[in-house]
Amino acid sequence: MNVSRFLVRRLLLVVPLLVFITFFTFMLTRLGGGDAAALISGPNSTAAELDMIRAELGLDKSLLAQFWIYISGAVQGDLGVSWVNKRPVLTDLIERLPITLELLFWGVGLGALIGIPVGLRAARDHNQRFDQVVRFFSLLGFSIPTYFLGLVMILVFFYFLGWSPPAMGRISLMITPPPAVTNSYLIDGLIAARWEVVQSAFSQLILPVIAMAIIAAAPIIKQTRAIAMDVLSSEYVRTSEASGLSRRVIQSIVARNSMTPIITFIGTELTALIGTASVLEFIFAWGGMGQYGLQAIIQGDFSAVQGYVLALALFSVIVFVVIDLVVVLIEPRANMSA
Amino acid sequence: MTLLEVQNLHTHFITRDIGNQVQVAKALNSVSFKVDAGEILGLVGETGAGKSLTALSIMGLLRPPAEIVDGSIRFEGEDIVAMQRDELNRIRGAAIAMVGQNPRGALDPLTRIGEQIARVARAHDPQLSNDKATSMAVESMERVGIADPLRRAQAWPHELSGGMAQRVLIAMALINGPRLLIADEPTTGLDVTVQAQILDLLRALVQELNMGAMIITHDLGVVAQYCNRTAVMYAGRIVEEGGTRSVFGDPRHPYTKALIGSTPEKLDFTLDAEVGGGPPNLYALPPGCHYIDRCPKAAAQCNSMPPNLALSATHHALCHFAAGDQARAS
Repeated sequence: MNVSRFLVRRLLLVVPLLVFITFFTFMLTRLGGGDAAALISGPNSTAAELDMIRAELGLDKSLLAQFWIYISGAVQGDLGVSWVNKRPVLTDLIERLPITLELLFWGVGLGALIGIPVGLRAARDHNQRFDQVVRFFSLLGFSIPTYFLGLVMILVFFYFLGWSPPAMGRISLMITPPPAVTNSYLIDGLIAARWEVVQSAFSQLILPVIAMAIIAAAPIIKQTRAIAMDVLSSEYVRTSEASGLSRRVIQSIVARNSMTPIITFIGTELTALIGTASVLEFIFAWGGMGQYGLQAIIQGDFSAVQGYVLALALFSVIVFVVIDLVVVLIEPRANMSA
Repeated sequence: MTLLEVQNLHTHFITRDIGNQVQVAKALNSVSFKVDAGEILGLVGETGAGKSLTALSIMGLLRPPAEIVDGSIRFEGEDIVAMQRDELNRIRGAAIAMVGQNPRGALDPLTRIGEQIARVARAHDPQLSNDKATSMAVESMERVGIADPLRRAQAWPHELSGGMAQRVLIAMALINGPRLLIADEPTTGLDVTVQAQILDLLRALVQELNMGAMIITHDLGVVAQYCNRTAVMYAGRIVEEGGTRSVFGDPRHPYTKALIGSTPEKLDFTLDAEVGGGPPNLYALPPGCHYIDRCPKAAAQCNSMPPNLALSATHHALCHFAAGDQARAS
C-alpha cells in the first residue's frame, strides 16, 4: 500500500488525457468558424489590416503549428489572452472557477448530507409510505429545470417573503470584499475575521445552495436507494439476519457497504452538475465560470473557450483521482496497482 | 428429544399482476417433519422443490412476497412463526444457526472475519466485552480447524478460499453454542476434497456437541453418507421420509426412485425410467399428486390427494401405490 506511488501513477495517466482534450477543443473551436481577426478589428477593416492582425495572433500559421504554440504555452501556465477583455485567461479562470466550485461543493455536499440518509431509509422501508413519499419528491427534483427552480426561489423568498437578500452577487454591495485568498467570500471572510462579510456571504449563499442541493439530492437519493437495496438483498445481510444481529447493526453494515458506490456516484455527479452550477451562478449573478464560458463561446473568444474547457476537464480529472483515492483507502479489496 | 417440529407448513408467494389480480405461487404445501437432538436430517430434492425456502421459513428470513400462510414451526416447543423480530433475534444465531450455500458471499466484505464472528457473540450477550468476544471468536475458529486462528481473525473475507470461508461461517454459526444447525447446501461451489472436509467437520461437530442438524442438498451421495434420516421434497411437499438406509434401500415413491436412479454412480437402467419434463407450475399445481405429469405409474386416482402411507414406524411415502409396489433397487 503506497499512496503516493498510486497518486503519481494516476496523475501521469492524466497528462495524455488533458493533451487530448486540449487538442480536441482546439480543433473544434478553430473549425467551428468565427473569424477572430474580423472580431477584433471591427466591421470597417481592410483586408490588409485583417492579414496584419492574423499574423500578429499567429492565425496565419497552420492549425498544428498554432496548437503547438498553445500547448507549449499552456504547460508553462500561459493560457493566452482573451481577445475580448484583453486579460490573461488564467487570471480570469483563477478568479472565477472558485465561485462556481463554491456553489457546486456546498450544493452537492448539502444534497449528499440529505440524500444519503434519506436513500438508505427509503431502501430499508421500500414500498412503504416513507419510500413512496421520497420517490415522489425525488422525481420532482429530477423534473424541475434548474433555471426555473432558481427563479421561483428568488420570486418566493426574496420578492414575496423578503427572507433572503436580492440575488445580486455573492456579497452585499454595501460591504467591501475581503482580501482574496481562496476567492470564496465565506472562507476569505473567516480568514480575515470579518464577521459582516461571513454573514453577508452566507445569506447570499443560502438560496442558490439550496437550489443546487435540491437538484443534486434527487439522483443521490435514487442511487443510494438502489445501491442499498442491492446490498440488502445480498447474502451477507441475510447471514447477519440469520445470526440475530439487531436492525441497527444490520443498517450500519448496509450503510458501510453502500458507501463505495455512493461516493463514486457523487464524484460523477460533481463533474456532471458543474453545468447546473453554471446556470444557477448565472441566475444569481455570481459572475463565475458559467457566465465566463458562455460569453466566450458566443463571442468566439478562442483562448477563453480553450481555458474554460481545460479548467473543467482538469477539475473532472482531479475529482476522479480523489474519488479513486478515497475508495482505495476505505475499501479493503481495492487494488492500488491499477 | 425433538428440537424442531415443522407441521403443516404452507409458504406462498403472493403477488399482484398488472391487472391487480392476486397471483399465488404455492411453494410449500403442507410440509411436516421433525429434527431430534443428535441426528442429521437430509432434505433432498431438485432446484425449486422448496428446500431452501423451508430453511428460510424456519429462520424467519422470508421477505415479501413470500409469506407463511399456514402451519407451525416449533423450536423446543415454542412457535417461531408467531414471533416478532426481536424475539426471533434471541433464537437465531444463538439456539438455531444457519450455514449458507455461498460462503464467500455470506461474509461482510468490509469487516475482518474475527470481528464478524465476535459481532454475533456480542449480539446475543450485550454484557460481553470486546476482548472476550474476540477470544471466543478465535476459539470458535480453532474448533472448526482453522490453523493459526489468531492471525486469520485479522483476514478480510476476500482473502479466504471458499473452503476457508465456509469454515469461518461454521465458526460463526457455532459461536453461541446452537442446539440446531441448518446447513443449506453447505458444499455447493466447493471442490470435492474440500466438500468432504466440510461435511466431515459438520458431522463431527454435531456428534460432539449433541446438536440436531438439517442438511439441505441436491446431492444424494451427501445424504447417503452423512444423514441419519432423509426427507425427499418435490414441488413443495415431502414425498418420502424415513431412515436413510430405508429410503435408499427401499424407495417407495416413484420420484425417490427416479432420483436415486439418476445419480451417476448407480445409473440403474432396470429402474423405471423417469418421464421427461420439469416440476409443475407452482401457480397451477395439480389437485392430487404433484408428480402426476412425470410419473410412469400415474393413474386416475392420482388426481386425488395421495395418502401419506406409513411403511414402517419411521418410513412414510406420499403415494397411492407406495404400499403395493415392491422395491427393486438395492
